[in-house]
Amino acid sequence: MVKNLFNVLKKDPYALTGVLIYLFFILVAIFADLIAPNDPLRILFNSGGLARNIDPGREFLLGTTSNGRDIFSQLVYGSRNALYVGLTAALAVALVGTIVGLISGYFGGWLDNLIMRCADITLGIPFLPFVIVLAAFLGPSSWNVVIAISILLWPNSGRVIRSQVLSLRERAYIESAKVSGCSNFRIIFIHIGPNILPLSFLYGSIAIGWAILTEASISFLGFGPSDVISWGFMLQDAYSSQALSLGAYFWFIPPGICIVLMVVAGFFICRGYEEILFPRIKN
Amino acid sequence: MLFVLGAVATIIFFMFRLMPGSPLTAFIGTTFTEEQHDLLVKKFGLDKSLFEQYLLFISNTLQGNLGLSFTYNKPVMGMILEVLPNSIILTMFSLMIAYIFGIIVGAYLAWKRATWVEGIGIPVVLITRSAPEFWLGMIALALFSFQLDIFPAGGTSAPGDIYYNTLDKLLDPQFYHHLILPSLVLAVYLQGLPLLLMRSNMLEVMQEDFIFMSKMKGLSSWTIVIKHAARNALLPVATAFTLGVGFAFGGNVVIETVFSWPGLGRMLVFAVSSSDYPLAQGTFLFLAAILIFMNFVADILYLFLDPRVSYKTRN
Amino acid sequence: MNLLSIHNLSVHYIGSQGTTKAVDDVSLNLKEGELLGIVGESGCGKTTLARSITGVIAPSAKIISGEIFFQNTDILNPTNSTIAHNVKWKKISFIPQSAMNSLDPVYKIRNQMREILMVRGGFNKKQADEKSNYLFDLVGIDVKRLRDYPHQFSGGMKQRVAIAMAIALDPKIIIADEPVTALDVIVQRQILDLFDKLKKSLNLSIILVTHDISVIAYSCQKVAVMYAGEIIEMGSVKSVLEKPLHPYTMGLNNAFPDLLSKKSDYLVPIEGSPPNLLNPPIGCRFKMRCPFSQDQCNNKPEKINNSDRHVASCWRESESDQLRIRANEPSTWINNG
Repeated sequence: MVKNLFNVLKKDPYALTGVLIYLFFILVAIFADLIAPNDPLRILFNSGGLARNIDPGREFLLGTTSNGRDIFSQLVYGSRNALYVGLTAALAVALVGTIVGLISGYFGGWLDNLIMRCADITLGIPFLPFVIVLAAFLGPSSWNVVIAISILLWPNSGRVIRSQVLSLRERAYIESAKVSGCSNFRIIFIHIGPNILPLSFLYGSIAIGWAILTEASISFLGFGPSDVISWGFMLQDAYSSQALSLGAYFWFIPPGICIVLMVVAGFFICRGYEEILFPRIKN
Repeated sequence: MLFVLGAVATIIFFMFRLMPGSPLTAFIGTTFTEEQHDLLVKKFGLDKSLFEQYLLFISNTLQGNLGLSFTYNKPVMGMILEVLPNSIILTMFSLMIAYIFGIIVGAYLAWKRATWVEGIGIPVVLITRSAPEFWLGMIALALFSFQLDIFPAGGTSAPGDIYYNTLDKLLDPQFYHHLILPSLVLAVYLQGLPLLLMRSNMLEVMQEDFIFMSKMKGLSSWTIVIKHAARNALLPVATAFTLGVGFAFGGNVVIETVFSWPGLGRMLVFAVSSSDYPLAQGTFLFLAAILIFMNFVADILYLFLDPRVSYKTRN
Repeated sequence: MNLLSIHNLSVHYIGSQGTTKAVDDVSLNLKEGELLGIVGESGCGKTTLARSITGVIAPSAKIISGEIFFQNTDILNPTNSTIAHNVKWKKISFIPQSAMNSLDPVYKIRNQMREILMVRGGFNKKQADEKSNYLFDLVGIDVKRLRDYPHQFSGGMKQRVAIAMAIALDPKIIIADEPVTALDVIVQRQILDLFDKLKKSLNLSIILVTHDISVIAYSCQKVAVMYAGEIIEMGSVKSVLEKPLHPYTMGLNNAFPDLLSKKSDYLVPIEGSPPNLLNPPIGCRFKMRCPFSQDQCNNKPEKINNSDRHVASCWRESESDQLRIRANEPSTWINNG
């Protein structure tokens, strides 16, 4: 199967681009300390006093904020938060959605009904408002996004996985596994599971992008943590510091581009793998 | 639908009761007088058990009473209804632009399968889906508003202007002047979904047997693509539109903030950041209600549009 | 006088793994008033052949060479496009496989009938409706059903609708691709009888493509046997089924149950499977499965070329009487090749 994955990368430029983008940001995040010249939160001073609103130049690649912080360093360190939030959320969504889908689809009956009803209710809760309110309860933290996503986004992946399980359940080889005495546990995890994994993977990678976008929105609205640098925080900082009217494009354009790259990478990878993973499945 | 509504309302009730601070302060601001304090305690039964409070909450809500705002000391319901038209107009305007554009271009991209048009088109669309809406808004503002001074920087009206009612608003070109930038930015973000959906539906439908038969019958390409393929491909897009309305109301928070557009989303943000719990709870409930209602409408809509479905359910 | 004449038609599918020679140098004729059957197993190319006649083939298919003459005009390589367009549905129409969903699910039948009659037949709405009623009567459907949607029809009724649509513009030829395959036996008979009735009353010529020999035996006068993209035997149904010349046809006979048979009690399949058309074998394509193959079979036997006699594409055609006797013995086919 690994060989298959590599083959897809070779054939599909999109998937390749997506993976490269991820790799790039992962490397940036890991080596942030080496790449970024300054501490992103440190207020800097230069010969003229507070180093505020300096245009991009040799000393500060992307200039400085109104508080005298180095924009480029912020950008670099922001990748850590993005990856952190994105990957945890993706994992959470994939996990919850898969487990729910497996249980609901395999066991059916009242358990299935119950879960599906819960899904209906969950879908009735507006996403962004919920995250906002959550931030009000739990205080601003990066965890809010991950929690909200795990709580609210499982219905979609759960449902699709569930219908996959439903169709697989009726297949002959499952019947024969049951007849030969396989326990339910074995059947779920060894026979059905591997067939479901591609779907989990797909929804997981979409969740990465969604999480990053949500985190950015929340930070922008002012509900994100102020002691952690994220691209969303940068955008909020820029907006409230009147960067727009100042025309400080170098401040608020780069973080947005980084967000776009990370999210679009997820989409590209999905597209590429979609072909081998499901030749016939449609949503 | 009512079941879901009730369940969500219950969740919201308990959610807001978990607010830091005592149940009393959760609903009554510290700025209220002793009299108002007692009045509210009585009205909302805050000295009673949680269960009784819950019943009161439900009955109050059903009567349209969502409490008093801490900050403004006005009925929450009234405040919501005041800003509701703004949200509705923004949402519907943007969605319609987005969907009309998305459907046409989506069908076009399907037509141009395996050509360079598709090769460029798809990544571009994916990029629009990947960009934070508020960031696009920021760029639009910086460029068109501050730098080029073509469009106003926010709000629904020029400073000093007042609209007397919704009709007045709709008839005033100033309103549209303010509406254009936020709705276009929103539309840019929203069009990705109908576009990709329409494209993928078209591709699927074009493989169907009856399309093949249409070609054999010698019908024109136009007839085949529009009358047969598109009509079939549109069904899921119509459903998506309805769902999109419900979703957009909540999601428009950011756009409303960037453009200082006085809508429900912005009100929620304000309420939460100023700890105006009744306002926050009321707005949240309202947003949820719209979402649930639109989900319901989407289901019904499909019943009407697809003859196969209605046949099954009627029999 | 040949109504339809196919000369040396070759159709290939271009795929990621190579080129599949689905139809290889096929020639056959259709006379006026004739019901010609084309029989062969799945993948032998008969559907591709059928669709090529209508001019609408799969996107990955390519017509490599050949001519199709309809009333002495080449419609495969027409001198201008209107020729081919005027033939479509007006002169040659198509009845799809009974399993296909050949009708648009979101429009009522009446509207779909109006579409074909008004757009291509030049009828106005009133005339179109009258003709629709007439056509439904002809094929045996209650006229009231015109206001229904496709999914409200059963399989057999859907086929009747398809037939009504096919004869709407009074064509001369109808190509029917597995028209009764997915229907139950009783309905099959009804549809085939309908074909016969229409053929006589409307003076139609029909090409019926199927894998089911009993359908051929029941309906057709003439039959062409197709194997691995080639026509390997052709003649009158009586002659081909009673006195087959090609070993493949002989084997087919054994593989089908015959209720009145005095022969051995069990069915004898032809072992093996048809060759891969990405790389067809050199010489006779049946040689690997043929119990009578010899060295000369490594060269291609003479192709069938529009003759009215009963002919087969086999080196040992002249010995067919003796071979037939041996072919009747199950032992010839078991453990062969």
